[in-house]
Amino acid sequence: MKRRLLMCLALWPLAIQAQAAPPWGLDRLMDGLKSVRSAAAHFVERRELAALNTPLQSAGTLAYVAPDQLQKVTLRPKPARLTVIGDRLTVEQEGAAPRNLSVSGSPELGAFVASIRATLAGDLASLQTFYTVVLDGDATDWTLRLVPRDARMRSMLSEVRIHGVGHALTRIETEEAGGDRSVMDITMDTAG
Amino acid sequence: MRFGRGAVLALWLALLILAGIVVGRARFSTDMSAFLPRAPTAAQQMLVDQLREGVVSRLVLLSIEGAPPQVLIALSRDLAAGLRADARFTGVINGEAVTMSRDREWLWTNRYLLSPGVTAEAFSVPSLHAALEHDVALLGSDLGMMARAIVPADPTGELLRLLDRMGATAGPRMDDGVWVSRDGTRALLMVQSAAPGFDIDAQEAALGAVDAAFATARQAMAGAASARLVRTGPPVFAVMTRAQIKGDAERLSLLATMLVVAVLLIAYRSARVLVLALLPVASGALTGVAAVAAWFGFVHGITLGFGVTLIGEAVDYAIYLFTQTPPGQPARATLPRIWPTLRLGMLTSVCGFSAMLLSDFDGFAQLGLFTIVGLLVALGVTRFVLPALAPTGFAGPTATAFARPLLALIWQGKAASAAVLVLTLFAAGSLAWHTGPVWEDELSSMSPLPKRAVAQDAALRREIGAPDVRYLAVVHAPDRERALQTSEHVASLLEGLVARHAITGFDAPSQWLPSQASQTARQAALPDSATLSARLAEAASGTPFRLAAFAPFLAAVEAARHVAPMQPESLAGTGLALRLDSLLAPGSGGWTAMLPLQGVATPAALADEIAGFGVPGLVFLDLKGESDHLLATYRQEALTLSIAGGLVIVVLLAVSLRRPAQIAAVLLPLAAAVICTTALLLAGGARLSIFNLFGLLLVVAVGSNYCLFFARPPGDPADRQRMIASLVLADLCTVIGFGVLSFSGVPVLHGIGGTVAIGACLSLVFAAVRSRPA
Repeated sequence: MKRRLLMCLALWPLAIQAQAAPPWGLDRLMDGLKSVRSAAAHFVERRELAALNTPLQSAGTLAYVAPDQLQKVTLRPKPARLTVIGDRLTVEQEGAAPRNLSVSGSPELGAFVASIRATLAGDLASLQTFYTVVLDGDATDWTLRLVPRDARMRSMLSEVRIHGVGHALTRIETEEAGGDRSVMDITMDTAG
Repeated sequence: MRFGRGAVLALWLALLILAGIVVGRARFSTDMSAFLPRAPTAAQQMLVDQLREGVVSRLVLLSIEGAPPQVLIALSRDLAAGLRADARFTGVINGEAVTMSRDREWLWTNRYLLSPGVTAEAFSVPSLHAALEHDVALLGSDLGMMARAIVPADPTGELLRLLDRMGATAGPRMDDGVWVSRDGTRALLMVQSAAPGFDIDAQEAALGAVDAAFATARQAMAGAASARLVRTGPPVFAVMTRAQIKGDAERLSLLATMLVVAVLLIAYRSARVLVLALLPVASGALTGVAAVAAWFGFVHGITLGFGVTLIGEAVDYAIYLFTQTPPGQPARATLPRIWPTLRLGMLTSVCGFSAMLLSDFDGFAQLGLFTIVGLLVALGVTRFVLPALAPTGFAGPTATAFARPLLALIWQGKAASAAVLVLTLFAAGSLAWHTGPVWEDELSSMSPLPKRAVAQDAALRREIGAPDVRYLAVVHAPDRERALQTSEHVASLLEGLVARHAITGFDAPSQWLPSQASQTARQAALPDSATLSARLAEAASGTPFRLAAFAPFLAAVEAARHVAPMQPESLAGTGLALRLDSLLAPGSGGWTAMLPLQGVATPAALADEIAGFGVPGLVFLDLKGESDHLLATYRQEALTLSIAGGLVIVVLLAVSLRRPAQIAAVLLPLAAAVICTTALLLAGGARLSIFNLFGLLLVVAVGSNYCLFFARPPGDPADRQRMIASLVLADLCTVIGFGVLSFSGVPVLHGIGGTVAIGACLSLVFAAVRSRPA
């Protein structure tokens, strides 16, 4: 009797927690994303620019290591590599010296990289520092709509839409000012 | 010489008043150029210009540490914002985009006048086609996001060319848009003051403003109480050095003066005699400064600070007079006895210092003139003024007691003589077989900075990647336009050296402000709107570009064709203004353009290459090599002057004393003292510098007096005892005065102080030992 009472007391907090669990939403999505420590994927990107008659296509691989390392390796049409570690952003291209930039110091590229990285890391606070975040859909098919808070930033990047299924990203759509847009389709290889 | 007492005093006062007036109107300067040779080489002139006002002389490196990273970053932003609003700073860089975006905007607006890529060829159909194909690849790359806004207005990629040249990709690590150290524990900033480096008062005020801005930022921020600011760089060092020299000079001089005054009070037991004893040296110093001001038109700070120590001998004159006057007698009666010796002693010193008058450096020549006039006047005052002012019967028996230790030594004459001989031979031997460097040839050794401060500076400099400029190609031209044109020409030649890996890179003022000629040429190379749009249409065929997208390009080119060429003022408010300012400056008789060279592999080969360019007015400058070389020149000159002075002294003594035994009695102890002092200094692990050389010259000046007094034929034993007492007293004052200086951390004071204290002591002992007991 005494033992059962103790058991009840011990389990009580769990019961309360289960009762108080919120419905699926931003917080649960971010918690789920946060649990992914590393991921690898393939991508195909299609970029439509107002200045060009035909879209530009590229393909390659993506790699992420929590919380702040991201690498994009382009295999087609020309080999190149984009590496982000912390605030350091390195662009390596065939036949050119590596270019070192900083995420915070390069508005266009930096904002884009930061949006993807913060999403992968499940870092809602960081996302909300720069973007108004709106979540559509449910856990099996969700869309995060990110609109820059800063008006000057908005004049370059109007919106980033990140689509996902569960803890995985499936597509990143970028709407830039002047009608330029790009769509990156992602196929996950592994996640851990 | 029979002047009335009143006439003498009136003449003396008139001289002092006249000197006072001259000194009151004198211009005092701390300008380094007084220590340039009278006919400096172009490289020496540029070295001093750099030290005086070059950009490096105005750069302060800051590091904020001791708080969490986020606090450091916020502090860096606030501090930078505070300093940017302060007119005392021409540049504040902490990695923030504030200046970077302004620079970028400026480069963007003026790209067609700035870029060396703007040639008629570059705007031909084939070149434009190649540029467009390159643009397609760029837009498809990871940099496409940045490029897409730029390409329609700049398809030929001029901005990227300019940005690459600016080295925008280099720099320290950035966190949150602010420079931080590699380990992220310090926020880094670089601040350039508006005032030139030699204006130490202005630098001190600027540093004060930095401290105040930091204190304000720290106070306003939560959790920042533990943060501290580390400052380094030439302005910090200049202020620190001045404070230390001033502090040491004041503290040690005060201490030395108090000790000397105490000794004199014990000896004479009279405040009046004490004041009188200081009259000759004070009069000498005042007239010496006046003479320098009248002759050179200005008085250098070093002459003032240094000269007074050089005429310290003048204190001895009064001591000789007062101590050798028997009790109850007037000082006047003593004069006939000691005057010939005093006069010869003074002449010896004057001869020793007269060689300095011939120096190629104004600084040395000023010291020489100051000393000569100072000593002449001091002896004159001792001879004519003091007896008139001294009370009769002032001398008490106390002073005589000072003779006792030396008398004891003299009684041991034979044994002591042998000891001195052995000691001197041993010292001479140690000098002859001395291994290792004898001379101090590094300029840094002249600075009193603690090693820790220098190491801290080097570390911070590495982190920030601040210009640690050592090698420069310097161009001198009659006007700015020609300086810029030559800079452009030299830059094109340097490109060849970069391609051959003789250097890794360089900067040039013409990169940020092209010559008017180049700007006009670039404008002429740009096609008019109709031609350009026709060519562009042809070039775009076969590329995915829509022609309409290039409207901004056509507009920008058309605008660039008609814009007024840029002037230095056009850069106002950008970080590039700072850069240009440091590379292009009006100098003596024209304009100087500086092209700092990075990654120099073999300096000697590079010097040959640059000389081989055959560009008139172009000089290859190795700042460190040149400054070390200049120091070696000083030392060589000081050595030559000292030896010449020594020879003149020998000749003077030979002519005046005539008898070889007497000449030997004066010269041998002096030579022994100089040899032993030098050996002692080197044995102590020191290297000899100019300051030690001047110290030795002083030893000869002071020591010759001792030797001359001892070399006189012995007279009345009581007089002789008083004479010896006066020497001991004078020597005691010298050893105290200079010995105290040797405790200074400032190399000048330490070097002279130690040398003279040791040397004066040895010369007295050696002179006494050589003499015969009465």
